[in-house]
Amino acid sequence: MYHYQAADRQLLLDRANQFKDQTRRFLNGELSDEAFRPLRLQNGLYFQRQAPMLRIAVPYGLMNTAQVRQIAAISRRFDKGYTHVSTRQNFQLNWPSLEYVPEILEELAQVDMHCIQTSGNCIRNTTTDALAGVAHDEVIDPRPICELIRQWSTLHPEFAYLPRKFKMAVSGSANDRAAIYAHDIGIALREQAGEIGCRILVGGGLGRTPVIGTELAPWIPVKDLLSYLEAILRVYNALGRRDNKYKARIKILVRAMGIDAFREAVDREWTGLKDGDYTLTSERLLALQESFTPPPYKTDLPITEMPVNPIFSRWLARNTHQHKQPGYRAVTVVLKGHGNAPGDVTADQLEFLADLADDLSFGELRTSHEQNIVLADVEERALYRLWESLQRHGLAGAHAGSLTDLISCPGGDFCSLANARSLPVAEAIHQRFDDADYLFDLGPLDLNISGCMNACGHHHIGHIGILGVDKKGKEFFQVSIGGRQGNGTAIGKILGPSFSAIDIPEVIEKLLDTYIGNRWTEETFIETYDRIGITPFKEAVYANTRH
Amino acid sequence: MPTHVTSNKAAPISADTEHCGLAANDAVNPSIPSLGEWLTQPNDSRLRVTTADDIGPLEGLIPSINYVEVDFLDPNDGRGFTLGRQLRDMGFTGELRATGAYAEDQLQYLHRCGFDSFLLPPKIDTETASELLRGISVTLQPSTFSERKVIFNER
Repeated sequence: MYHYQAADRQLLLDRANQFKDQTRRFLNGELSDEAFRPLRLQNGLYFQRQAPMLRIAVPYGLMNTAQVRQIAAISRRFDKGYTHVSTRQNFQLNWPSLEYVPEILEELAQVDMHCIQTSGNCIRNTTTDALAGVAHDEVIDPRPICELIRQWSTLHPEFAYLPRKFKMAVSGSANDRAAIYAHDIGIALREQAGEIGCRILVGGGLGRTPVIGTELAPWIPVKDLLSYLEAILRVYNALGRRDNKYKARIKILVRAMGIDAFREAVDREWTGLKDGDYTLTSERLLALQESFTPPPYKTDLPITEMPVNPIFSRWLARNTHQHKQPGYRAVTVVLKGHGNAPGDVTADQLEFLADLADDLSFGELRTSHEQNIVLADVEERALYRLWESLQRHGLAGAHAGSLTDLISCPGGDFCSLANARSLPVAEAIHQRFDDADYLFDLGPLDLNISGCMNACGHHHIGHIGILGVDKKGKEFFQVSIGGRQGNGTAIGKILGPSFSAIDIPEVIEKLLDTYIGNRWTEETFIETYDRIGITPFKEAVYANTRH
Repeated sequence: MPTHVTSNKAAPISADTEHCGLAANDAVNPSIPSLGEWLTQPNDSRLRVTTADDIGPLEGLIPSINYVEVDFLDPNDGRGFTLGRQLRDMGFTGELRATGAYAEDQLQYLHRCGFDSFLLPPKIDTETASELLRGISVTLQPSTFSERKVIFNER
């Protein structure tokens, strides 16, 4: 992974000191709530219902074990001994006290971590495929480009006060696993005649106006990527709406101008920026790529006969992924189960996972967009041993990619924006659908829950999406189906009138029964939906109900 | 002052602007023409714009200007940062002053976007401002300049 240099470290120390001073000025009254707000947000600090929430950046989801252990230690010392993995691959602390935040930042800086730009109207943490560098279908490793973007966007002086937040994702594979169609800018890396190029999508995003990104440029040479991104951001910063925060994202600007006029404006800006200081030299690209050279894989591994054990086999089929390197698999550790919020992980579990990674996966871990942890480089012959240890720590749930590997925002229990509490719904679903055989038989199914239309739980792109809505002060849930992420990204269709929380497990059961009753052999939920359409699902759910 | 990790876009411009066009201690100096006024009658070397103005029409007219005052309408409105860099990218080498509702914690970003002159927010003295300008000692991207002498004019 990228190793911090002296300048990166100095920047974190300076930033921690700067925030310490800003916090001091806020606490002694020199800075008003309003003046402090953008400053704390750009350091990932929210004031929430229960306590402040601090979001720790995990650049493109990649961490070493020292960093993971430090997060565990911080969560124990300054919080309640657990943390939460967000859909942007970051960690969140739900209960830190404001006066300790500067100290937390100092401790994070010791392991090259920070909270910079994890919130606020600025360029946020760039996300990517959790299988970057190891995926069997990868064309270009996206991590060097993510690192390039991290450096460019970190404390960029021009883009810290944008009309609204700005999110980017990079994919380097044939199959998009980074949701690039649902980002302000999505970048698909390509290769042609030995050259790397970037297909640029713009104006995607979920939130209250879900939009699939549109192609802005089919091929930007990688050497010109930063000047091109700078041109896009400049046009957005100058022309994006600031009068209404719900219409301030770049997708609204692109839609209002039209993609062609927007492209012209970008090209005009780009003319002045192209071939300037931002041009990526081949030496710099090489240096970035060398930060992500493959670990010392063993090349002579014998073919492993997997032990016969039905529970292990199910886990193997669901939670491990084909690897570029023969003899290795990538492993998903699912952070969802009874009694804990999706994505929550305890300090003990983090330390255990760090030990496992040191032992079996070259000392690196990843957070995934699905709110799980990935160990990317495990020898096949070590998988059974790894699974046994995961079992001992309650982390061997074999439901990666299944119904109960659901994505959920923290919802109304923690978040001051939410209309509804998403966590009890997630828990009710876990309780209702806990039969491992049934879940395995259902096959891949994305269920995503958001507590409000800001869509942090990505409900629009779930095969089944659940959205918390407020009706005259009471919480209800709207259900949509048919959404999906990846190459064919689509927004789900709303099924009909919303339901109370207590009805949700039954509604889902009816949707699943409809799928099972209609599916052809080997057909997944989404394939059946595509073939038979929304009507049979609608009829099953609303038959004999009063609304 | 800040040191650069990557090369700097424009070399620091030698500042002969130290006594140039210091505004009176009001946010707006009416003797300086607004953008609209200046465009109809471009016979002053100074002009003032707001963060809501489109400075596109100034392209090509830059050599006749040596002082631009940018009035920030709201501290959360970041258009002024882009405006500063666009002016410098057009070749403007004169004094670029930030006035109005920007926040003191934005001083360093403003400086890096090409502002070299500040009408300081209330209660901020030059000493505090100098410290705020030095907050972060390294930069990870080129910016317009960061070593040019800064002019303060306290309210």
